[in-house]
Amino acid sequence: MSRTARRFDPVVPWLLPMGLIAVWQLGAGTGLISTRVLPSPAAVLLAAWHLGRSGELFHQIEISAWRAAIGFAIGGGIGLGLGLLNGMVPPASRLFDSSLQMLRNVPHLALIPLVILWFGIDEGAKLFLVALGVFFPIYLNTYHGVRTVDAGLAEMARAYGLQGWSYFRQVILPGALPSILVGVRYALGIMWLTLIVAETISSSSGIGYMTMNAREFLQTDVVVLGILVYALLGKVADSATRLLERHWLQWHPAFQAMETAS
Amino acid sequence: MINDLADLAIIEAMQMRERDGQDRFPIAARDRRTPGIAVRLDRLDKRFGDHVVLRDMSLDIHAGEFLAIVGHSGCGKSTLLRLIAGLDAPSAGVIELGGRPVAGRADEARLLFQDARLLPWRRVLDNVGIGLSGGWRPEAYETLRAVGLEDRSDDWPSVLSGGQRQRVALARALVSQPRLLLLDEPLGALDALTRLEMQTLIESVWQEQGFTVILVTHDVAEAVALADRVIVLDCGSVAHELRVPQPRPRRRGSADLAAMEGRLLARLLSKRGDTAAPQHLARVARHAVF
Repeated sequence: MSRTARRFDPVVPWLLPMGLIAVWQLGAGTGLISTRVLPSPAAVLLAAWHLGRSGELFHQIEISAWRAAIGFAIGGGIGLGLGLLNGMVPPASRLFDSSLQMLRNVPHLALIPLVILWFGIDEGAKLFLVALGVFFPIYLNTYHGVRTVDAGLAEMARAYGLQGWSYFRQVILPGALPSILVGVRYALGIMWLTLIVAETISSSSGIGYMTMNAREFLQTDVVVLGILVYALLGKVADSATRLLERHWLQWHPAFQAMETAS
Repeated sequence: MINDLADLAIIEAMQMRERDGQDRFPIAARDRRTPGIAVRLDRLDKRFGDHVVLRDMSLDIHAGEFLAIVGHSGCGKSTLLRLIAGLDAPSAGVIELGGRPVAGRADEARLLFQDARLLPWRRVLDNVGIGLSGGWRPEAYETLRAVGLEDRSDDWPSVLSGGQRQRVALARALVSQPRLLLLDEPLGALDALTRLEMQTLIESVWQEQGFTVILVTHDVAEAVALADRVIVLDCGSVAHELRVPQPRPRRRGSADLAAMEGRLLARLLSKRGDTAAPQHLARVARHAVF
């Protein structure tokens, strides 16, 4: 690669989105795109500024992020626990696994009518849906991770006297971790998706509520802002997992290769 | 070519020994000499379902002996080591270590596998100290120095070569000062030169520490070069036994060793010719009909 090409290297991934935004602004500015359909980027920025100054934007983000975190902790915690249990204790696996595999095929969003009947449009409904959505990817990947821990390493650990907690901490958990983290990344995607749907359908606060409310008043700029905030939150969650991966999986040849490449 | 390599490896190892003097295993020398432990197998049977792996096998290995077991693959060599290490229980018969029957994992014994089986998520030094508690670090570091890898103590296993990984595995086995070292073809996957270096290393450690060694190998030359006694295992029991009285250090490729190697090979190959081949052919013929 030549020197000039390398200098522009960090810019390259941004060319396409920047170009799109420029075309979008141009289209909205010249009236080619109706603001009813799509507000100009400048209008979205302005809406962000106004909502940010009044504090409403951050208030709603806080509520949504809180729901996401609690739902993720509950669903992910149960998924991790059951995955570890079923992976390590064959009788537990026989008892639970086939039922869970069956439930897995039910789209959790199909439960929304039932969930509204059970919980109303309270916090409980949203937390339940997020927890349910997050549970399966984490459960499946944890279970798979534990089951596929190298049998040779397990035998070695036994031969060298590792058992109980130290066996779990030094062999099972680190061996399953790459798979668990894949589950976490899947789960994060599902977490935001579930929250968006739940908040849009039945809510009196949160980003989803903010955008639905704005739709009633034809405030397309706020709607687009809401979508962008979701995208941003998703990106933040993904980056956090990447950081965890880099920290916890630094022993992994794939991550060592990445580090020398970057 | 192989003989040249062997000479090279031996010269190098001797130079290494001269350089390091008696300090290669300072811990063992300082603390206590760990004498080997005697192993006695009495009418040992091991079955997996209908499949008989070991049949009525009896064997006495005296303390400090270097025993090699050769045989075709699938003749029960690895199973035997697992039984002695207490990783698996025999279907019938008794295994005694130092006069006491083995029940569960034998703490005096350490097993070295064909692949190094290092935990990829622990650094080299932590791998050496696996299963140890208390202030094991200095000891692990000293043992790592003894196998010549002290400068890699902070590396991940994934960046080591095959030979280096196997040396770390050897250090991991040695750090607890075992009285019995069980080697399950630990050198099988290494290239010729690394293999010779490892053989020399294992022999010198054994001579210094005096533990008992049971080496399972495919390589008859390796067995004859290292062992006091070579056992041929066939169909789950001892088919042949050969003492190797040659003094150490042994010179690879010497006429005496080559003659012994030839006898063992003839023994192994004739066995296969008598029994296994006709069965095998019969099976092929059956398949051909259908």
